[in-house]
Amino acid sequence: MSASTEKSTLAPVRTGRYAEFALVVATVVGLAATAVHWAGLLVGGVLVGLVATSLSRAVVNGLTFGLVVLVAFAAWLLYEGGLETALQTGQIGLLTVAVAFVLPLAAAVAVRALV
Amino acid sequence: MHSEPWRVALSVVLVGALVASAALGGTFLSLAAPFSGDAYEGVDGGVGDGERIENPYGEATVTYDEYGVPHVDAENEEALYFAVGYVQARDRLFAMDLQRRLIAGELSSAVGERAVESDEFYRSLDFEGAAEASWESVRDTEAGPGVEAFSAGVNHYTDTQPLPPEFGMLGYEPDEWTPVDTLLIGKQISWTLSGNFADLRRETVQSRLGDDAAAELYPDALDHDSPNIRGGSDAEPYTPDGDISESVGGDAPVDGDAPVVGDDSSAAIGDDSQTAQSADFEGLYDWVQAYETDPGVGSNNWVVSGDLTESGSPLLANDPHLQLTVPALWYEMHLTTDEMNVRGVTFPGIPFAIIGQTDDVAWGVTNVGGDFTDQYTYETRDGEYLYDGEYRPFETTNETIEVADGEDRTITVRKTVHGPVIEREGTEVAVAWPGFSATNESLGVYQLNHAAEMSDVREALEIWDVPAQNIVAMDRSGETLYYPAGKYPIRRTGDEVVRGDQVFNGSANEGEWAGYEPYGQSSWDGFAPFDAIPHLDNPEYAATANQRVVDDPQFYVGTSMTFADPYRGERIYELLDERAESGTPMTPEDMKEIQRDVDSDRADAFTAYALSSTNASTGLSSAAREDAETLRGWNGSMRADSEAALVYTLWMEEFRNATFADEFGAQGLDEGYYPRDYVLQGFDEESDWYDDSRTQTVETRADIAAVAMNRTAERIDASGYETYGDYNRLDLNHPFGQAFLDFPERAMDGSPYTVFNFRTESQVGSSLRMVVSFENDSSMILPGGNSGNPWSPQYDDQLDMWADGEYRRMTLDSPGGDPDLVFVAEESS
Repeated sequence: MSASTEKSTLAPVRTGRYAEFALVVATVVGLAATAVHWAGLLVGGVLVGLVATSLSRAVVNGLTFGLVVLVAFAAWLLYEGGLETALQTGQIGLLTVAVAFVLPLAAAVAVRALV
Repeated sequence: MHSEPWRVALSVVLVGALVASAALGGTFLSLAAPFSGDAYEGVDGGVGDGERIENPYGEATVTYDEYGVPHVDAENEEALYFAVGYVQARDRLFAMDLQRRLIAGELSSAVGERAVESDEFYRSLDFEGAAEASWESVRDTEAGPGVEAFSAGVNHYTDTQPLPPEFGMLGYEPDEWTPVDTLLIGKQISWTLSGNFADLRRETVQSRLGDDAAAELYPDALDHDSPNIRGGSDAEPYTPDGDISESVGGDAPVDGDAPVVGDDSSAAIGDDSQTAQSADFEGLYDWVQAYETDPGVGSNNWVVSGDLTESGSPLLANDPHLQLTVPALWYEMHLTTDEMNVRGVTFPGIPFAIIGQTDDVAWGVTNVGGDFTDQYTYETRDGEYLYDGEYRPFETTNETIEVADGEDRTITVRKTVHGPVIEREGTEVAVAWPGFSATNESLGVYQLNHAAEMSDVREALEIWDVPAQNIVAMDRSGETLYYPAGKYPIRRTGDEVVRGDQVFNGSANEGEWAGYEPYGQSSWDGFAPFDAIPHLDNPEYAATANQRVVDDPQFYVGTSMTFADPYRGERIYELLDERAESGTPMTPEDMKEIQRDVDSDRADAFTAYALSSTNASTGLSSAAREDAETLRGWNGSMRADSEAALVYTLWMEEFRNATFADEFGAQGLDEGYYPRDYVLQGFDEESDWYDDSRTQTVETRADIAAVAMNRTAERIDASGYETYGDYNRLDLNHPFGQAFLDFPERAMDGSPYTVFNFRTESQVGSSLRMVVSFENDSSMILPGGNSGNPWSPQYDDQLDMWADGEYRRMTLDSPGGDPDLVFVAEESS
């Protein structure tokens, strides 16, 4: 395939009128996958990377996705009464935060660099 | 595709990094990932509304109340116990698996190297073999099907539901649960309560400090006048005789001699038929010390007849003292079918309530603290030992101890006719303990769960064999009972009945236990008959706190080395006597007040000694003098906000050390050998023990008191402690040492010697407090919570209430509302 065909295939979700909607869908799908398995962080990263308009935008999308995951996670912990305990987990908690940012970031950039 | 090489390269690098981290760090990802991580297992509680589970035995429902106590109702007993297995796994699977591994000697395969020594000990004693023998005995009784259904329930949970977070964090999965595992948990608690090596300790002291010293330090009985039974007991008259109807192991009588009935004098306690040997067992005792019961640790219980209560209905109170653990040791549950209604506590892994009540009966337990173990030495040669006139081979098996992340070990487990052999530094002994045989206490407990009146309780107690426990019980009709039920071995050498407080020469057939077969089915024929056990039928009130059962028992029960100091028992009787004599009828609140009592009888005695330091020829530092003065006029109340209690506690430690360290230390004996505080209390003020053998001057009690007070002042200064609560801390930690799994630390009232019981050095204390009333609601409290799920609010919701001496209601009603779990009969396929 030629580069221009690729770009035009993804253009509607990157710069067209579906762009914002596509980002939301990517986030939701990624979040749902993350709820079930850590690979969901990669899925989310790939999807938000695909709809990014540029490589640096992919970085932003990846990190933002990670932030969304963490906020949703904290909200869930709060709802279940486990937030206080979670904040005491020390190294495990730090790992959680790191994983939530690093995996989507790497996936988003890796995908956007190629596609 | 973009063709710029740097983009491709970047992509490749990132993908490569992700793949690598997944491969190498996959466990970290699956541990800590948000939402899906193993560490977060259980955040959402795992309990669905009306979750429907297939139950091969029939229908059942489980409704949890606000404290996480499951109320299990079922159409038949097997369906009931299946559901019990399921919820115990749901709430406590990690603890169940850990306890099972501990007693089976399989801890190293889960936690690695640091558990190897423990595994060696437990494998050497082959508790698994004993549990197998017990299962053989129990499986065909009415308790058998329940145990099997329970196992099935545990396994159904493990097969279908997510595991608790600890398994993911440690990286292993639990094995299938079997009925033998349930019996194994029973062996674990039995050993914890009745397995001791006091005989090794005594012989070592005799050998190193002399017979006179040993006799003074370890008298047959402490000279207090507060045994459990203060007057006469209701036991049937009994004289243990030398008649051996069957010797150990079920063999024919020795050498074909006709059994001779021993005369009365040989049966009298105190008859010294000890052999002259006093061998040194220090190396061996050093190793096993960690695994024996700590006789200072005990429990409290008492029962009061309706004649003395406000309601006219009897009252019962129990607080067993055990290791305080995370999660709490006990698991509370309420079980109902059409025919039974029982509420109480058990150890996860056991389907029946060990302490609790039914509609019409209630019971509580404390440890008897008798002498239920003996050790035997042998003449040996070449893998054989001399017994009964001939050399026999040791029964040997090789056991492999798997070690996670380490090298597996092999040990050789050896047994003689008397039992398993333990060996350290060239010293070896065989160990006899009734629990190595098949035992039926689980059937006894099952029957208690179904008891409707006192005669049912007596029948159940006749079956209760190991560990011997001081049972107090009451029924709705008003009957009360105190019965230290259990199997009491009568030791015989030849045709003579002998005491058990010595190490026996197994090769000379000393100290035989007739009717005992380790790892087999014992007839118990040579043991004390049930009716001969000292007990009280329908006492006005009876209290036990692990001190000796009765003065002058008809058969050897134990010594001051196995029974506890009298301080708690005396105090409880003091309070009950006071209330009984006051004429004011007692209420459940009175029982709770007694359970909350923090006044130390031990402090009453020793405070005077501490104050004598102010007049000693040995001088006091000014800080020490100040500290000593805080004790003047102090009432012995062990409260967290008390400065005097702090000074007293530290001073007691220093006083004990200052008295004994010189003599014991010189012989290489540590404080594990020190005598009871009650013995120390009784020393004359100019006793030799107070003289420090390392100094020229002759010290008296006052001098040692001063030395101790000076050291106390130094410690208080160095530590920055201001009150007792700074020292007396509750600090309960999860086995992992991960802060978020631990219970919060806090100050505590109470001491090892007060009724409200807590000991900070070992974090042992009242592992539950229960007060049962048939007319009002009963009360219960646990030190922690009912759930083992660290994310559950019921993980530690009761901890502060327990520490503050509060209770919650315990009823035999079921909570309303929709059940949390619904078990449906399995569809036949």
